[in-house]
Amino acid sequence: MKKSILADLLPPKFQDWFTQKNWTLRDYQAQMLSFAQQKQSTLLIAPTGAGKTLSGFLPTLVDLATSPMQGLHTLYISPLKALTHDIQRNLLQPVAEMELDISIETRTGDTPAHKRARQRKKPPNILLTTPESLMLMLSYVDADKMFGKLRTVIIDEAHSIAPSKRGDFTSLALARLQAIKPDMFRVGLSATVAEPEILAAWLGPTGEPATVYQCESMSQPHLELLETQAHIPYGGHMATYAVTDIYAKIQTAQTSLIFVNTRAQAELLFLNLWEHNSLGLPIAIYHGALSKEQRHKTESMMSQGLIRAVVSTSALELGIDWGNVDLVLQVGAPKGVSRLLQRIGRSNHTLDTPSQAMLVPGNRFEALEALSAMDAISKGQMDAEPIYPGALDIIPQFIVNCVCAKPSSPDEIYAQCIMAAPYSGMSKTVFDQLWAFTIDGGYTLSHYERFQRLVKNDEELFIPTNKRVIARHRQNVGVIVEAGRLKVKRLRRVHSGKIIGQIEEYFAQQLVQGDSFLFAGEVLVFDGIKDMCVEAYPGKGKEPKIPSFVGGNMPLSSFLADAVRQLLNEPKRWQGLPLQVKEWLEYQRDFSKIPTPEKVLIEHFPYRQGQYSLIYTFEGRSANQTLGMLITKRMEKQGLQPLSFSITDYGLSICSLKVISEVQMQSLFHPDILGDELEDWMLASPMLKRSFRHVAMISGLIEQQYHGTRKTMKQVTFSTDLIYDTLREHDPDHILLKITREDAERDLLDLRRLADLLIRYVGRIDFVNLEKASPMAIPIVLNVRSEVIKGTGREALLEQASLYDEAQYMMAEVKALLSGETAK
Amino acid sequence: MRPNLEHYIAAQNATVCKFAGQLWIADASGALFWPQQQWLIISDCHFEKGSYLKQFANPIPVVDTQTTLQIIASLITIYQPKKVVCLGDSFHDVHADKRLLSTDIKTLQSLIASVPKWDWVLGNHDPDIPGQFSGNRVPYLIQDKILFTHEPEDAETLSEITTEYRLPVEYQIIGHYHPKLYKTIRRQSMSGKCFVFDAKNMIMPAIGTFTGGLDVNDPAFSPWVDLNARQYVLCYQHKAFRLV
Repeated sequence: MKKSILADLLPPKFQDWFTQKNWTLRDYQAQMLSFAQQKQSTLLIAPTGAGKTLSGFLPTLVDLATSPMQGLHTLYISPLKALTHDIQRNLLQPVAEMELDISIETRTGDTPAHKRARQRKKPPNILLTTPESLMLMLSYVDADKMFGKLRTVIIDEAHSIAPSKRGDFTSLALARLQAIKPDMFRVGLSATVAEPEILAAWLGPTGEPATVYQCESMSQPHLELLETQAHIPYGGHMATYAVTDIYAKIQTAQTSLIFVNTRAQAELLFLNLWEHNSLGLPIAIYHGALSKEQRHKTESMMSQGLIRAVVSTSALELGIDWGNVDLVLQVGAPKGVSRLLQRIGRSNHTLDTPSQAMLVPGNRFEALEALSAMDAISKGQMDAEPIYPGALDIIPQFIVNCVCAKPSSPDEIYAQCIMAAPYSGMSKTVFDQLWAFTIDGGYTLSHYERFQRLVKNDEELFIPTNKRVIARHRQNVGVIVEAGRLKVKRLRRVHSGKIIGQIEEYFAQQLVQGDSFLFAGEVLVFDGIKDMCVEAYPGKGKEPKIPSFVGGNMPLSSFLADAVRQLLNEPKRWQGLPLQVKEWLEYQRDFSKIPTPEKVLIEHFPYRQGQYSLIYTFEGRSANQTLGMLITKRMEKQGLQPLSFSITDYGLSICSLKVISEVQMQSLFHPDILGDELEDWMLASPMLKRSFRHVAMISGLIEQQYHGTRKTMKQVTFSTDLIYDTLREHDPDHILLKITREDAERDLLDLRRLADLLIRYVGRIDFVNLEKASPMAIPIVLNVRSEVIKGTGREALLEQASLYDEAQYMMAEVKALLSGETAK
Repeated sequence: MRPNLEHYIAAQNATVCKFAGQLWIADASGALFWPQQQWLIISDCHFEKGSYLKQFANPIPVVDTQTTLQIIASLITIYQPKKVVCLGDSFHDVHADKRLLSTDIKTLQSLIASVPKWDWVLGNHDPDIPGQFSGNRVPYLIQDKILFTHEPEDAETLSEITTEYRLPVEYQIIGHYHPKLYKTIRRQSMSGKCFVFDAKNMIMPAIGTFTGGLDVNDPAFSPWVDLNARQYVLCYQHKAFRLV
């Protein structure tokens, strides 16, 4: 039976090759072949190690082997540039071994211009690219020809692309491709997700979700929580306490991958590991800010098995397969179950052996999170990513992209937009507003020449105003707004040395000559900034600073937050926690209370010359941030003189000058703050400006890249902030302001989650007055980053410090002076 | 007494301080009123800085002049000065007048006409004041031993000035630096533009919008204002606080 299916699906050359490799065709691979024959869009969900990528390409290889052709047959889209090169290598091997006549090329931002031009005229059979490069290719006049023979588009790591602006962007590019080649079909490759139907709907054109084919995981991963003799800290995420344990653990494995959540953590842990590295084990570091060369070097050493451990950020979460990893360590909070699963899956890249992983929490709260995530995995539960309608700021970019390729009418482009699933619900009215903005920026901005992007030609169709518009657009295609970065040059002699990576502009500007900082695993001494380069000598410095990277904070998934709350209320399960953490919870129970799911716990106590209120929400940073803003706003109105607040994923601490009573707290923690205070605050908030900056860049209002030079983020911010103010004042209904607001409500404020919380807990507050900070409060009040409230509290402090009485006394003299004058 | 002025000061929109043996009212907007002479002193308006930056591909709105003029208009209403002194850098650059909107030109002209006297002390950004605006153009003003100047002058120059004008000079009121103060009280930090002065010199903040600021701890201030005898008026959210 099996043989005959094989014979139907696989040409002899392939059968021989499979036999030669001692492989058998797996069921899902056979399925993929038959789906492809029916030209049916398919979403293949399989755990890592299942040979997903090969399965995606197998139908293409078979098709091209049986009926060779000139021109582009299959387009492969990957979220990572590096992955395209890797896949190319993996594909070239079977193609060479079977002596197939199939051309395979990559195309990314790194592809030289002459090659890109040639690829447009004479495309290969298989082109491996990124969403941004695809959109760029679609902006050329010859896009019709280039994609005219396209059969299949393969979207790799679809689960990581889809729930983001980049997913919306990719979806629009696919809609455009479909318009060029209506019978093209799509294949999505994804790791296990909580709700496959949602991903399948995203993958297919509007109204035609892809068929889901799920390949079950064979084995449960082996997970353990670090057991340590060391003191687990109350706060911080760096897990430096556990370095000895981590070092001991990596000695037990052949190759370990050590995942951390931020680049700063990676640098610090790497340095600490080397300080403990008495055996001189080859330990490497890998993150997105390091230079390409450095990363390639680590990758190739890794694949040759020359490295025992790599400290990495999410940069290594996706893609490139290294068969030899046999242990994964997660250092710091997992933040989400799916993310943790993805990371764990990086070990033991074969389907049949279980992955090995150890979790190392950075602090006590993170220990709760780690245990909750482990329990969820063993029960097969996952967190679902909420799905939102497509981001509207991408539409103007898409419009310009289409118009660059050929003259178009709004109706034509609208029809294509709504074929992209995320935009299926976009109304024509909204589209028309976006269209009007794309033409000239809208009423207030229309007298600026640079915002005139489209004009009508003789046939009443729209074309770009001039060549500059096209050039500017092409240089800025994409939805990834990078934080301002400066290159880091490691000096050997004056002004000469090697570029080793990038740090954020904001961090670089704080450095003064002689300051030392940690980068690429070594201590560098800052010399100066020259030509957009941070110049630094390797050297020694006391307490080097660690570069901070914006966006390093990953949000706690609401699923995991609920799981933590659950764990807190099942003291039996505390046995699974490290002893210290268990004792910490017991102290909390005795000294104050344990937060319950029925009520929200609020503690109030004096601390460090202020009054602190601690609200345990477990709703993640964004929702807590918003809550903090709104509550302090109301405190301000009620004369409670708030000074600042700080947040973690688990709670919110507010510092005020005045003591707050239970009754007052009830009026503060109340859903109606979403009505009264929200509006006041949203309008004045710097958050909206932050959000507007992104919207302005994605919609093409302002660009970072122009004439090949990159503007610093400071310049960009300066301009966008001012445009924002002008629009608010003179054109408050501008479509970009609406988009900004929606973005902010979703990404920065997490309003939906906050509203749920406030409504759930109306009148259900556990208010506890304490003499000092409780065990659970300590990590939150210790959080050094706090949001400052500029209001009556600070004015009261200044008033107390000012020479006010003296001024009153002098005022009498002034009065005398001035009234004497008028009397004259 | 001006209507509302007392209430205005009681609400801390301005504060009284002593300098050079005289009383002064430091306004939270960054202006200084001299009750003795009834002068209103404003510094560093930087009119048309917005349109200046716009020339360099910064697509920013050009309402800064309008905003600054509104502030000056309300100051004139509150203090009803006999003279307005602009302490230099009133215009951001020598071509500023070519970019001024006609409505702003009219507003400024009517402001100048609304007070008995208007003096332009010249600064480094505006060696020439555009011709369509009346008022005295002067390199310095001297009154009651106080030199009103855009940039501070050293002892040697001061003695030359004394000889030239035949007037004694002991104190200086200065613009140019746009001082900014960072203050921490009970672990809470606050910052804003400020007046900074000692027994000899007072440096005024900039009144213009978009003008930025220089930390008073910057070495640029130390030759002119004694680090150990400094007083400040901090402008914080429309209120003025006198601090030491």
